Amino acid sequence: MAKATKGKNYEVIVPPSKLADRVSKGGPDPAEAISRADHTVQEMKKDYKTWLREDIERLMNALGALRGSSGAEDRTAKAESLFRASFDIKGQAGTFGFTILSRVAKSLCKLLEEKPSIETDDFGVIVAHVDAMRASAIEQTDGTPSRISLEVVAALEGIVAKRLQR
Amino acid sequence: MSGSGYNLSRVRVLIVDDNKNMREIIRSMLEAFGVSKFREAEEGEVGYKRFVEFNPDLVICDWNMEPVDGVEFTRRVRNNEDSPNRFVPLIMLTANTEAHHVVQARDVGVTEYLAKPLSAQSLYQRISAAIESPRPFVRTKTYFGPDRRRKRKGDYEGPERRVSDQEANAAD
Repeated sequence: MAKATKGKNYEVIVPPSKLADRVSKGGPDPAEAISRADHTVQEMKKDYKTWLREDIERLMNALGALRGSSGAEDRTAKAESLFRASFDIKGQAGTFGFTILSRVAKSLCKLLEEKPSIETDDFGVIVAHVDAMRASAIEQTDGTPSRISLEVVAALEGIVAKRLQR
Repeated sequence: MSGSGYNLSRVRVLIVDDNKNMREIIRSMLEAFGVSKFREAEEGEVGYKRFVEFNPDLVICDWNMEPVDGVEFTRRVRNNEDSPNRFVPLIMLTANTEAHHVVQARDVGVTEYLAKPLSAQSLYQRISAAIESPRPFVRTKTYFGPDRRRKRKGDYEGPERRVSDQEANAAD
């Protein structure tokens, strides 16, 4: 049964915890459980490389559609599709060690989400991001990032920051 | 294999995410932790139906989904008349990482906010927090959900500025 404390315009409720009630002791130690999950993620890596190829293809298709867009409204809709493709990569790549890819995707998402409207003179920056993501996926840049890839992603992030300040 | 950790074999988890690969990642991690009872949904409308049918002990949901996103899904879980458990621990797992996103999710009543990309350690820590330190819930005219304050009253030694705390002190 929940316990409640009431005030003039608020109520604080301490509910019973169904989750805690379902949990018992005797499971794997936390370090062991986390290690097992990490191992599972490693096993999924080859699946991720297939997923990534599909996501990059989706990204390329979205970029092509954006470049072929006609008018501001169409451009906005196509930019949204590109954002969604990049957003999915941003959310997954880092889990499998593709930290550079995740950062570049994050930078592209920032540009597409925060710029009030995407103009044709943004296409160069967008293409640079997509090219970097393709290169990262083809080279399967996971593990320790190279100095060059760190410089590239920093440069892209800097360009986006300046563009958003305009 | 038995140890000193949680036995999660009876815990029921609902995963709501529009990306099936992401659902697979989350499910695989949870299975490695010992969870075996799952339901999944690819957006919030179906997710809420599954929530009502399955009545899970833990929910993990994404933000960006259509037609019903994670924010609206959370609002329904916390506020709908037919919600089977408005207090369910709800972890929002999302690639939206800007501060205003965190605030918005907090203000709609999520229990924990976890940024993608996901790590096994961070997921385990959030689940552990939900088990060991469940938060009380607060209801006001405009909010129902977990207490949004991280610190408890006992940690603070300065003046009480909230109207509700002043009233509570006056009533004591």
